[in-house]
Amino acid sequence: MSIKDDIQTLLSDGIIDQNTAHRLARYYSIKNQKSSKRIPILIAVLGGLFIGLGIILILAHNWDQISKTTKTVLAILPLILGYLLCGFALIRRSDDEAWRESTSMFLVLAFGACLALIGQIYHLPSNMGLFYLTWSIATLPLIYIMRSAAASVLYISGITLYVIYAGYSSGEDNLPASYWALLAAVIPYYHHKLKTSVSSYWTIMLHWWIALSMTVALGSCARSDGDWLYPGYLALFGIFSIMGDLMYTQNRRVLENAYRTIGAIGSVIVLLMLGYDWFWNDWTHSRFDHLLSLDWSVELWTTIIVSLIYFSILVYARSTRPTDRAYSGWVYASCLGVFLLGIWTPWAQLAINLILILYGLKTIFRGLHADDFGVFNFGLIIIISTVLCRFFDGNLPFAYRGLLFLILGVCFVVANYFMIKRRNSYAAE
Amino acid sequence: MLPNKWIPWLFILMVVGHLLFIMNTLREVNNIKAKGSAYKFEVRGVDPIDVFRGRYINLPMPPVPYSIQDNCAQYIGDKRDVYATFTTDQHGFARINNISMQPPEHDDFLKMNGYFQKIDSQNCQGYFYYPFDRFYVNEFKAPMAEEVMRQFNMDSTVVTYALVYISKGDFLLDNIYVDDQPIGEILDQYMQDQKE
Repeated sequence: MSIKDDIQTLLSDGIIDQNTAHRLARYYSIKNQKSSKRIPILIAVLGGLFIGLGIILILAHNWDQISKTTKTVLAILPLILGYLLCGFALIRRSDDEAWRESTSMFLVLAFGACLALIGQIYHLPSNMGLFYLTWSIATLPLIYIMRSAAASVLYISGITLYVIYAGYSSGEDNLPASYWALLAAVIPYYHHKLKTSVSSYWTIMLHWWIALSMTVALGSCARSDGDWLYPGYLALFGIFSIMGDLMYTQNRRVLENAYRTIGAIGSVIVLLMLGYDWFWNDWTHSRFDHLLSLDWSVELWTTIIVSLIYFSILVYARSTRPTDRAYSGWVYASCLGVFLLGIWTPWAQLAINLILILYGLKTIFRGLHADDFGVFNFGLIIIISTVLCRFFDGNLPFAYRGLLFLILGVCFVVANYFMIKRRNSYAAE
Repeated sequence: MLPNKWIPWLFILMVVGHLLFIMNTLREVNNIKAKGSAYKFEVRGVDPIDVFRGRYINLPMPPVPYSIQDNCAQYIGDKRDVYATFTTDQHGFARINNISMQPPEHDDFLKMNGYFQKIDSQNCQGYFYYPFDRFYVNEFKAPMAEEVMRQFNMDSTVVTYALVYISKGDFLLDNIYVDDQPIGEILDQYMQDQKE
C-alpha cells in the first residue's frame, strides 16, 4: 500500500482530520521529489566516473603503433572535451546538479589521464606522490567553480594518496606538511555544505572522507620517535568524537555521523594497543626529558598541536553544550594523566585497561538509556575486546580462558535478551 | 559560494592554468632532447605495472657510491641531491666523470637522489640512484619484453642499453636498445616468430 492510501485509510478511520491529511500528503510529496532527484545525479556521477576511468585504462594500454605527437594530442583531447562539457554545464545547466557533478568528475579524471599519458609517452620517473599532488592541485578550482561535491571527494582522495606516497613511503623523506594546507583549501566548501545541506549524502560522504584522510595523514609524520603519535591519535579521535556530537544534536545512524563513529572506533583501537606492555616498556624517563628539553621531534610537535586543538574544542563543547554531550571526548583527557603516570610507574598499562572497561560500561549505559542496540553492543564489544586482548597477552591456563569465554558469551546473550525484553515492554506500553 | 560574475573568469583562468602547465611540461621534456647530451646506460629489465600509466619495463640500476670526508655529519639523515657529470668509455657507454654537491656550471649534468651514511667520525658514504627507472611498453608486449630481456641478459655477447638525454639535471629516456636495435622492433619480431 502506498503512503497516499495509508493517509486515505487514516482519514476514513477518523485517526487524522482533513487538514492533517493534506499536510501529510504535501510533506511526502516534497520528500519524494527530493529523493527522485537523487537518482539522475547518482547515474550522471557514476557515468562520469566510469567514462573517465575507461579513458585512463584505454590510454594505459600504450598504443605503440601511434607516434608520440599523436599520443600527446590524444592525451589532451579528453581534457578539451571536459572543458567544453564543464563550460556548457556552467553556462546552460548551472542549476542542474547532475550536469555539474558528472562533467566535473569527467574533467578531473581526464586531467589525471592526461598527466598519466604524458608520463607514459616520455617515460617520466615514478614519483607517485608528485603525480597525485599535481592532480589534486588541478582539481581544487573545480570544487569552487563548478560547486562540485564529487570533485571535492576526488580531491580529498588525491591529497590522501599524496600523503601516503610522500609521507609513508620510505623512498621520499620530505614531511608532507603541505597536506594540511591542501586540506584547509577544501574547508570553505565543506563549511558551505554544512551550512546549506547538512543532511545531504554528499555532506555525509565528505565527513567520512575528511575524517579518514586526517586519520591516515597524522601517521605520515612518524619517523624515529613514533611513540609520541599514540597520544596524538587519541587526541585526534577525541576531536572527532566531540565534533560528531557538536555537528548533530540528535543521535544519527552510525553511517551518518562519521566523526562520532571513527572517533569511537579509533579511540578503542589505540587504547587496545596501549593496553600491551611493549608500548610502556619504551615509555621511560627519556620521554619526560625530551618534553622538558623543548628540542621537540616532529611527532611531539604534532601531538602537542593536536592536543591543543582537542582541548580548545573540548572547552568550546562544554561551554556551548554543558549537558551529557561529548560523551567519548573525555577519553584523551583522562589518558593524559596515564601517559605521565607511565613515565614513573608500571601502573599505566593497568590504568589504560581500566579506562577501556569504563569506556565500555559508559557506552553500554548510553545504549540502554537511548534504547540503541548498536551503541549498546559497541560497549559490549569494547569490554570483550579488552578482556580478549589481555587474555592472549597473559599466560592464563586453558581452563581459566575457557571459563572466561563462557562467562563473556553468557553475559552477551543475557544483556541482549534484557535489552530486547525492555524494548518489547516499551512497545507494549 | 563564489559571486556568479566571477565564475566564468575563474573557469577560463583554470583552463588556461591547466593547459599552460601541460604545455610547459611538454616543452621542458622536449627541450631535454633538443639541447641535452645523449648517453648510453647499460640496463636490465623486469615487467611491473602502473595503475594509471600501464605496463613498463623496470630498469634496476646499481646505486652510485660517493664518499665525502669533511664536515659530513650535516648530510646524514634526509635524502640529498647530488649532481653527476658523465663521460663515455671505449665501448661508448656512459661512465660517471664527477659527482658534486652543487650543480656544475658548464657541463650537462644529471640530478641524482640518495642517502649518506656515516662510516666513522670523519667519513660518510653516500649511495645515489639513477632517476630513470621505467620504460613504458604496450600492455601485450610487456610480458614478452621481460622474457626477451631475460634471454639477452643471460647472453654476455648481447648488450642492452637505454639511450638517455641529459640536460641541466633533467633527463629524457628516449628508448631501449638491444645490440643497437630498438626494443620495440625486437618485440615485434619476437611476436611474429611466436605466431609462425
